Amino acid sequence: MLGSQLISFSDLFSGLTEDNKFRFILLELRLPRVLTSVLSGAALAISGLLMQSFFRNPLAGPYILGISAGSGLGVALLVLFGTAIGWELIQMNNGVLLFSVVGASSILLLVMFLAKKIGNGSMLLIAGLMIGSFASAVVSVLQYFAPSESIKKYLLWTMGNLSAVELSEMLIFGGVIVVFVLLAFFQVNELNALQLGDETALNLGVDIRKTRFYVIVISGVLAGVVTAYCGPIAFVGLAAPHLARLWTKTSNHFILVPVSALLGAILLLFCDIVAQVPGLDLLLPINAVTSLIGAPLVISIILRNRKSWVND
Amino acid sequence: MTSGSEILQLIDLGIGYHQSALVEGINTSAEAGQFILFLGANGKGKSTLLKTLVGQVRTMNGEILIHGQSIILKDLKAIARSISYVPGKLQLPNEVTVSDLLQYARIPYLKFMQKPSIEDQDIIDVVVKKLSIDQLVNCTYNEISDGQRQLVNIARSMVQQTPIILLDEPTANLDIVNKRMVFELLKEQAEEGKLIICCSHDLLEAYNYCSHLWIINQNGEFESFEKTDEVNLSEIEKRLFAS
Repeated sequence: MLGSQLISFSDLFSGLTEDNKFRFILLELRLPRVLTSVLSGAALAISGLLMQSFFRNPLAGPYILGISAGSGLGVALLVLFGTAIGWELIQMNNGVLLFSVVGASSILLLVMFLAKKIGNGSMLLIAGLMIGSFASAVVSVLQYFAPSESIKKYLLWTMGNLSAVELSEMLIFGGVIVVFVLLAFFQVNELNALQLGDETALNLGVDIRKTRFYVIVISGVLAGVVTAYCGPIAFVGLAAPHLARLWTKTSNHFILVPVSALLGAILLLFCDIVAQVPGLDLLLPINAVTSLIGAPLVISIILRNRKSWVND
Repeated sequence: MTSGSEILQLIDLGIGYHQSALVEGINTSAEAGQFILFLGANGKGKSTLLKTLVGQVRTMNGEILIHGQSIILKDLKAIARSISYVPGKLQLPNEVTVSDLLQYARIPYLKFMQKPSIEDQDIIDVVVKKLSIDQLVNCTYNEISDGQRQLVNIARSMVQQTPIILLDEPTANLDIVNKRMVFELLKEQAEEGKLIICCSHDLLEAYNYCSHLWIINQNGEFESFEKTDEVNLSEIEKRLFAS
């Protein structure tokens, strides 16, 4: 309903029942956008929750293992390097999607390979950060040599875009997200044990290596698919699990998984509405809005809950 | 050799990290109802042995049998239903409440995606009542005192309902009253038929409560014996530290 083009409730109704210009805006533009926001928000929230619980680190998020950096590197190779050697032939939209998926998957495979070799969780975290920094550094080098027009294209991609998923692609986009969110839900008992630390989790009969493999794949695919379609959407994946924990005051993943997904969806949808600045012909970059809204929200809840931290 | 109540047997067990052995040739067995005090100077391998018993550290050689079956043949959940491990210090996220922690202790008994049942909750309630920690269940683990935390840690291992309970210095950082309370509770558990193996540096306090001793002496050799009048404290200290 909300967007740059003002549509009243009566027009909304007529748009849904009759064939007019509102129908186009609603079904072809706004519906996919709303679905994309809701699905991406939920996906990033679950991806972040898995990383935070698994690494027992509140600063972890969907991108901590370098998934978005890998995605970014893929896109940068296409946009910055590709245009330099005359790759304009590649249709930009599908090309970005393809390169983003390839970039994210390569990093995911690399991290999984390292996870098999590295036993220690925090060392894996550091390895992930290193991979991310490495990919970002390559992007910087590419940017340095790229023409300004290409740099602008790349920068626009990094700002996030929730209208990139068309209705026809929604089945794949939504399907992957729903399946992997469900897979995350299958790990609730393991996640509950893992947040107590590896020692205790093992003593509760949890196969740590197996669970780690699942957690990295689920989190990586969720972060990767969102980044591939929408760019690196910041903050939601970090904030939503915290909001879920602070709000429900529980550590139980039977509750945290669905609540994080729900809050992630609501948060990103709300940010998207704000980004479209209802009534004005203006569109803010979604990545800026998520942090502008999310950061004060998390801080305010921390302040309200600080009483329970006194004994720390 | 095997009598009916032997639940833990260590056969020619060698422990250590990577290729460097800490202790070799450990041969002993333990029965239900024993409270074993496990002594040794720092770095001699007490914690390593405990970690080896729960599968955190691989055996270098030899075998660990629980109820006559090698732990290598058991799956992780079956081990989790046989041995519970109480680490000296548990670092938990802020949101974890005592009640959460006790519920998670039932995970070895849960099937895929299963939530703790009413029966599981009943088991928790019985332990909570027994240890009189009703007023703690809704607190977060991080906000209760060190003594209360150890009570909760032991409660957790009781909820896990394992015949063997291993403890790694459960009384470190506790005052004398809390130390006695913890050892008293462990002795009670042993009397109820559990096998308690407790690492501790509180020799003077713990000695009164234990029934058996395990020692890693200053030469890195493992010894196990019953507490009798012949073995007195100074004799034990000599074996532990004498040069």
